[in-house]
Amino acid sequence: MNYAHIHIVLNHFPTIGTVLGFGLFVAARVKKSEDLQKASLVVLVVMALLGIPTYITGSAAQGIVRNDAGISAAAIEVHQNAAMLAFLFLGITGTFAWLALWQFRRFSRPSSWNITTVFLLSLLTVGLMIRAGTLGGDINHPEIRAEGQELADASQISWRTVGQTFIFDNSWTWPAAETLHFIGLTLLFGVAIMVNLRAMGMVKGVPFMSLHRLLPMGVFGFLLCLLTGMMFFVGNAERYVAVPTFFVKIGLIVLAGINLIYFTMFDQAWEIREDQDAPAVTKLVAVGTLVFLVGALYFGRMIPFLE
Amino acid sequence: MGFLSWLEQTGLATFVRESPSFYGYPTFLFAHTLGLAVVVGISSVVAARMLGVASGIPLAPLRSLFPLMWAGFLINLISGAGLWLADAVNKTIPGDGRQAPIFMTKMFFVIVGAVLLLKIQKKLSGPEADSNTPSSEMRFLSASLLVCWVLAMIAGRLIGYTSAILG
Repeated sequence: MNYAHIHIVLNHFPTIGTVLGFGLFVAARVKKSEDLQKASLVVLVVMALLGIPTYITGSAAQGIVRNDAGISAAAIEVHQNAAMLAFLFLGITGTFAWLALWQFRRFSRPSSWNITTVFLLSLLTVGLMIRAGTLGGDINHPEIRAEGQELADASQISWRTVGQTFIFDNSWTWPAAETLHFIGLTLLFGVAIMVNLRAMGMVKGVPFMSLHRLLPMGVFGFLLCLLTGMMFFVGNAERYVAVPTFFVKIGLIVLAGINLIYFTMFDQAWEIREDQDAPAVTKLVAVGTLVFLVGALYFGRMIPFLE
Repeated sequence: MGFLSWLEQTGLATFVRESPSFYGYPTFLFAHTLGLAVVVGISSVVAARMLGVASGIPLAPLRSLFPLMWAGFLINLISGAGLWLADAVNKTIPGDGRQAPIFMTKMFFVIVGAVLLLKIQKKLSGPEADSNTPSSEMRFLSASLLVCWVLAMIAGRLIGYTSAILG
């Protein structure tokens, strides 16, 4: 099994999952079911998280198949552009879906503007994901191309190249992105340490409810890291995919993200009152989150030394 | 300069700089990032609370976070000392395209930041914590702390880009 294989397995999740999440979201509106709506939002957030390894293994897969006979470099380029756009909107959709989950917990219902936003974004993302998936299928499946279908237009501008030009032709972009990556990780860790240590039993005088208010700040820090991290990755994908532990880092980030969903919406966490001990499950999730995050920090810091 | 050059040749400095072991330079850098996440991370959230974010968080229990913050600071003092030792002349004596000016800028903001953090801790250990509404002095200290940390992080990151900045 190599990264091309993992990409082929992984790519189905965000594609089909986004369709599923959107379908559940619509069904929830029709049936006026809160549980169904929460479920649809969770699906959308998880799909956005899975989008990260899907995009990254895709870049690795490209390096593996690019020079094979019968593979069109232009088809790869077109799929890559479509995938980049789909990934961007999947991430934005996941962010607003997470915000809706957070609002559900804090205000018992998401704000109506956000419901509309998630609806429109997920609809758009469904279209973009299907398009990216179809163009990806064209790369290595001649049997599914329509008869006489021209393979991708080789003259299409590669957005990756545009991104690389922006990143490398300006002396300030790389150090600026690195600085923001550090500021983002500081915010993320500050919030994560406080929330998870409280769950584990430190600062017990603080009710969990009041810390829940901090979560958007931590997510903002994570988004700063994700955005600048994707800049590094797009600028230098070959370098990163060559480091095996880079994939460990990405996996740990996805796991930490899933734990975030727990602390965003579960009663077990929300109901920890002042001076109250958290249930064992909550403590376990908290230990897990900190292990995942420190692991991600470690494997991130080690990237330059493992090339 | 002679003393700094001698420092650079000590066993620890050589180990951090030249050892192929993972426990050398990579581990010092990792520890430095982890310490940053702990001390700057937690203190920034506390500062944000003083400035009005998540105002439902009671102030008194936050006191128990300070030992953890100082533990993070200590990790960075030790790992930072190791990293400095390995490259002492370059980071201390200005001139000849050396990193000293940017490194010292970072040190300035780190020291001011640490003093501010200590003042916040002192104030919080007093009656300040009883009201749950931070005084204007507490808010000023908190805002200054956030500015110091951001500037220290920017300067810290730019140390490695000295040649591009100072030519």
